[in-house]
Amino acid sequence: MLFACIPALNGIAGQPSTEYRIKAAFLYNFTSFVTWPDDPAGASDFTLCVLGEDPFGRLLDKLTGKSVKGKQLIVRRLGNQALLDQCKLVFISATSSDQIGGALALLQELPVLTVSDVRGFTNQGGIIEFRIIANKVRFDINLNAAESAGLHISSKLLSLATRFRRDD
Amino acid sequence: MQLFDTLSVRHKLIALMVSVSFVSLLIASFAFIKTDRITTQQVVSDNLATMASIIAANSTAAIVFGDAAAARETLSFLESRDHIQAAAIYDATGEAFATHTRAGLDVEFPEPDLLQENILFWSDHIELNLPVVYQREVIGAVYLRSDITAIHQRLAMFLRIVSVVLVTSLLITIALSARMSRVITDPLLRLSKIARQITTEKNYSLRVGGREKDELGDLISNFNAMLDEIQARDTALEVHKHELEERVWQRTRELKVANLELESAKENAESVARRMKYHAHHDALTGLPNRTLLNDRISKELAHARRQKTILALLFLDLDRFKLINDSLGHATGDQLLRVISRRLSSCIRDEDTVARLGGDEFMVLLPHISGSADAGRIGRKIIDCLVEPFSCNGHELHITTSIGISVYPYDGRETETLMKNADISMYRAKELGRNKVVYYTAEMNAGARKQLALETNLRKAVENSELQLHYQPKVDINRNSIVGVEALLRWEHPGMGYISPLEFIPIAEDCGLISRIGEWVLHTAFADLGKWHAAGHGNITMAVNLSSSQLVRPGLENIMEAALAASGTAPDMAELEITENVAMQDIDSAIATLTKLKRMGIRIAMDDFGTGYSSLGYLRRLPVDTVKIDQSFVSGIPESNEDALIAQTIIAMARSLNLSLVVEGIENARQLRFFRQQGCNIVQGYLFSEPVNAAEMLKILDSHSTPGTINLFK
Repeated sequence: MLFACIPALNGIAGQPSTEYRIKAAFLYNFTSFVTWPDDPAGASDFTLCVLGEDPFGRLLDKLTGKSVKGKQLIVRRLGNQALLDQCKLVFISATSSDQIGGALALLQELPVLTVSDVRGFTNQGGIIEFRIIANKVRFDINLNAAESAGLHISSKLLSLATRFRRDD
Repeated sequence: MQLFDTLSVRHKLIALMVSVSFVSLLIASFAFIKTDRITTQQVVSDNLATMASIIAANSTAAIVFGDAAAARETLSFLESRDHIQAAAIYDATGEAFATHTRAGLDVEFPEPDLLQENILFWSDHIELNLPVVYQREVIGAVYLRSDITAIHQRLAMFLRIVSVVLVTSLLITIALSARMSRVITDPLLRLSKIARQITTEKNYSLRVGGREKDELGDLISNFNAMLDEIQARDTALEVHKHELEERVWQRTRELKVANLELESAKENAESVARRMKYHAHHDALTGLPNRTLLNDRISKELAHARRQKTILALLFLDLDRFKLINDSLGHATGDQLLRVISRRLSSCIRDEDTVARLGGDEFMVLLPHISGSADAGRIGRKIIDCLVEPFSCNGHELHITTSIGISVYPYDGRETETLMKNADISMYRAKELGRNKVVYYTAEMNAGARKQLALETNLRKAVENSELQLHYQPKVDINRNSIVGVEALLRWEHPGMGYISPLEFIPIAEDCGLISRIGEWVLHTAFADLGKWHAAGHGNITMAVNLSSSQLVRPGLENIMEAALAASGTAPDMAELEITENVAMQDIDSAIATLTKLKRMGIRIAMDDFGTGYSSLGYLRRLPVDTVKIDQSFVSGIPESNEDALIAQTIIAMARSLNLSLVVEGIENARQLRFFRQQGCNIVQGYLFSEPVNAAEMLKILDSHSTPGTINLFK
């Protein structure tokens, strides 16, 4: 498990911070607790995208080739929103916080799990927002956004969320 | 078990049933508790495993995302589970990042086992370790620790239930078995009661009641059947008993009488047995050992002699002419004499010697310890000397002579029989040699004994076949030159053996009992012949017949004479009976008595061979003798021997002085005739005149010389 690899990643100098090593693991682990609707196109890959500057360095490359829901995980780093709808999971980097509104709008009602550590991400319609609480990586979940995206989030994951939104 | 044996059948049955039900209940309870315990443990551990699985499932996200709070949240539901003492959730490194401990407990959490699920049962708690697997990878583990008071409580509850059930069922069993055992014990008690009653009351008419149809019913009916049988027998027995008592009473009386008789009979029998034993080995008359005992002793001594290479001797002793004494004086005197002789015999032998009576007048002396054959002869002589002294018996003074034959082991035989036979033979030899002789056995004697035996057999035949003849020798009166009488002489002409002398066969005839028959024949024949001669005109002829000693001593001689004379028709004064000195001397008293009777009949008595014996003049005087015959043994020496002449002259003088007539016999020549003519003896007899001739010849002689003066023509 990636999570289990976290301590091994710790002592590497000049690498991304511990915070992002945990977040990278979390990204991968989220795929276990989220159910995507069947892909009518029948793509053989599970595409994990990073919009904006990649804060994980080369960490995500290590995930390439892993199996997620019976598909091969591939990582794409996107400079713009053009190929966003090809992704199953999108991490929107803080450097692209200005593009959040556009991206979310673009992805509305598309089965794409959106994740960011930009504050208020879930308030804007993002699905999962990393937070740092008591010096630990935690996350909020916007269940409405997930449902409208057609994603099903495991209650186990929900139980771990610091808070989650559910309108109506 | 000892206690169990003393219990009654009923209590045994109860004990049996109770113990059976108790044991089966116990086993069932034990099995039940054991099963329940296993089941309970299974349930508890299953529950615990389920609980752990739920925790694991619910804590995967918390583990994956390292959310300790969430993990603790997962464990929080255990608060309400009192039996859970502690719980923990470990991450993949084995670190417990969420734990739960029951209030008031201090629990140390162990290292988790990430590889496999395991469950540990302790005495007071259970531990369960379950690895948490997510996406086929172990991401951590769940640890649960539960107390088992529930199990214990459950067990305690079960034990209580079991005890209650056990006690209840035992009580029920006791109650039931107490009732049920009566089914078996009641008939038994009835049987027992009746049996006891019968034993004490002897009342065999009692019966056991009951309606049982089982084996006990059989037992009761069999018991009753047995009682029927016993009652029948008892009745029969009662009858028998009465009869028996009657009989016993009677028999007891009889028995008492019989007992007394038996007692005396027993004493008799014992003394008889003692006597029988004695008699089996002893002669009844003399008390001496008999032949049986003697044979015994000889066998023993022979065996001893064989071993010790010593010698022993047998003395066969026979009393001479004992038969005469028996015949003349009667058996009582004979028996008395044998007793006296036996006593004397016993006293004159040594203690170690045995004297036995073989029967009749025969005795046998066994000399077991002698140093040589000569000893036997010496002892033989001593015995003869012992018996020489006269015996006084029933008022008679009896002289006894004996003949003794000796055989010596090993020279004369090696076996009892041979030795006895050879002693017997030598005794006969001794008899032949004269009285009071002791003779050793020699091999030739066997032949002699055989001859004697043959003679005896032949003599019997001779009497039957009339081989015996009488010859007659005339007595001549030389003064008148005429025959005055004849002397009858017995002759035996045996067809094979020729002439046998009377000296030889008369003793045999005496021994074997033929003598009386022969004697009687002689008397009858002689006087029958004389009768014929008298009838033929020779009426002055006398007949002289010799008497044997046995004829003289046997009673009834006068009757025989009377008969002979009567049969021949001759007068008693024509008869003369000749006796020898020895014949007369054997029993002088009875001889005198018999001769006196004969003399009274008118019969003349002549003393044959006077001077040859030991008889004294005193005896001669007491005998009723008419005539003395001068024996030819003196005559043959005359006239050459002065001594013989002197004896003859003395006898003649003595006869004259006693007023006895004289006959000289054995005159063979003229010189002898002349001598006696000078001495004044006119009656003579001898070959000079005539040899003995048979009756027919004698008649011719009488016819031709009946006229006086023709005597010289004899020769």
